[in-house]
Amino acid sequence: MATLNYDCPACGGPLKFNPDKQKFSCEYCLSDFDTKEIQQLYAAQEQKKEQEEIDEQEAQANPSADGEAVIYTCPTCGAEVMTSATTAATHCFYCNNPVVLGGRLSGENTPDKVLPFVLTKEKAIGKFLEMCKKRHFLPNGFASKERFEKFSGVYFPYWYVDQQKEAEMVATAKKRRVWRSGNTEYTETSIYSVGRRGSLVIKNVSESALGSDNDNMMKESQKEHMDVKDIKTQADKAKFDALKKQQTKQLNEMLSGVHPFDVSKMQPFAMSYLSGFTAEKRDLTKEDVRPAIDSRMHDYAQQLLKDTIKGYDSVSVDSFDEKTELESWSYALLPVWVTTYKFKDEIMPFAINGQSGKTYGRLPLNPAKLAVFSMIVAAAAFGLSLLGGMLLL
Amino acid sequence: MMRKNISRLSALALALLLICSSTVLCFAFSEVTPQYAIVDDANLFSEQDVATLKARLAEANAETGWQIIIHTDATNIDIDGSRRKYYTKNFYKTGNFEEDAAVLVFNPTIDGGTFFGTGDAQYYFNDSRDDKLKPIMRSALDSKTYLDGACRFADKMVEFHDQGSPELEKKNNKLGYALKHYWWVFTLIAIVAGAATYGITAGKYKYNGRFNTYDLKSNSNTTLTDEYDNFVTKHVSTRTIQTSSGSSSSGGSSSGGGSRGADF
Repeated sequence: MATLNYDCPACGGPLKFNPDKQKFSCEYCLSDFDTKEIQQLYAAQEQKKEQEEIDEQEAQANPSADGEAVIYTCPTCGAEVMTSATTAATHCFYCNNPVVLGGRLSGENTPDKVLPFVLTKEKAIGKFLEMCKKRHFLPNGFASKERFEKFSGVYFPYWYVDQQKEAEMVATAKKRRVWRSGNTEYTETSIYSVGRRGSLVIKNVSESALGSDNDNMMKESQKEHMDVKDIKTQADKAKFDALKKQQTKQLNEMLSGVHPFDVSKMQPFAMSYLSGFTAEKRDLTKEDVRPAIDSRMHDYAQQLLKDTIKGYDSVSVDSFDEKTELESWSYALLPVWVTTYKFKDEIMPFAINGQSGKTYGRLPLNPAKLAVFSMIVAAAAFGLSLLGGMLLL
Repeated sequence: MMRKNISRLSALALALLLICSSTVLCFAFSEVTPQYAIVDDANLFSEQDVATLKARLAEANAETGWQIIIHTDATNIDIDGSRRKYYTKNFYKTGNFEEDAAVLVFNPTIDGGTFFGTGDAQYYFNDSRDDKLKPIMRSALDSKTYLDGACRFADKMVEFHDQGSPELEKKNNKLGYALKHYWWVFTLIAIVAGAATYGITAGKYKYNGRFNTYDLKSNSNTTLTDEYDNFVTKHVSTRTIQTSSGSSSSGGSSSGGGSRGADF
């Protein structure tokens, strides 16, 4: 496996992308380098490694299938380290130096764009603890910095789609006018046939490009529950499949839950941005995510035309036609701080948008605390309604 | 001689008339105590009747705490409207009576009467109770059994008192009344509020950050190339509104002059 290290040009120590400075920093000599500087310096090396990866894959009669573990050699310490087939950047488990598996993001897997991390790990944990402060019913001791030290920065792959459409809608709209005369209330309902035709541009509709259970979060989660080698019977397999399905669902929810990102800040992809973080390559093609994208585009287009029908009390769509004139797909890596935590035998994923700090993930609940609070609210509601009742008597 | 005899007879007749008149006047009775009042202006009760009545009225007062007032009136008055209001204003309010009182008036001259309560006692009179009391009093007036009528009035006051007055209870103890009669409404509101708090909060924890992930407005642009809004038809539907004016209460229970009761 072709690997790539970004070493400090000054001292040779490992370089990591620093989200705070938006520069590459060396932890040893404390030097900072502009992204352009590093990209220029390592451009030739990246190309060479990409070619090595392609040659390596061609030479292998049976290349690693996605989903299986792959062994690579750490360029710093020489240790053999296993990683999942979709991991494109990681840390050496022995020397903890950042390693970019250049070949994973080469050729057709090369992302078009990357949104660099803006939040450092400390800031991400800070955002998480800030959110926890507003949640008063967490179990005691849950919101501790130590618990979430294992947050890891992951670049997740997404498909981004822009479309330009011609769309036409025919709808029935109603206006109601109500007035009274004596003891009679009159309701006049006017019915209109409404038509709208127009050109629509819908941008930045995204879908996760990671579809299976081969990301870091899933691996972590599976370790806690069940591993492939535990499968011995049909029942074990069924249990494993159900677990995989549930985890895939959790992952997809998490990857959509951390949105929105400010995509205007995206940069053309450069391998060096991945240094110091974990990265996943996509394993879903355009065709895999097209049904989901098309369905959302259809709903959005219909909503946009419907929003132009104003001044009515109700609108019901009779017919809607659309034709996509232009379409643009881009494959982007987006920054997410992610972790899993175990609470009462349940593995819970938690993610923080690496750009905005938006938190996503199911939080554990202390039912006793909430029950007491709910009872206080109920008692207050009883008291207030009693007071209201007494005033009405 | 004849003329003398006529003069003597006339003088005797006048004397007899005066004696008779003075005898009648001496039967008219009036006694006002904090427990009861008997004002027998129409001379309907004998001394024995009065003694019986006093005892019954005192008993009724002991049970109810109200001053029980029995008034007989022989005045030939033309009352336009409610006799209750007339006697409240011209008899009860002009006399030295207690604030909480139950009053019965018989007036055989106009063949009518009235009963009413004042102060707290008025809250024990309502349509249903008045309707039961009216025929009893009417019957006593018609059969001229005034003592029996007055005694039954006293008994009825004890009965009214024992039955209680939700309205007075509401007036004096709103908290107790609200709790006693509407506890289930407040409990229901409390359960809904508590359950909603639990459910909404638990949902916030479970679905933390799951919503509003795509902003369509800021990521889209619409250029209309054609639009029309064609009127097709219209129709009008009507609905009759029920007003509360049709459910006004009957005259028997309407308040007036600080008393409640009914005429008979």
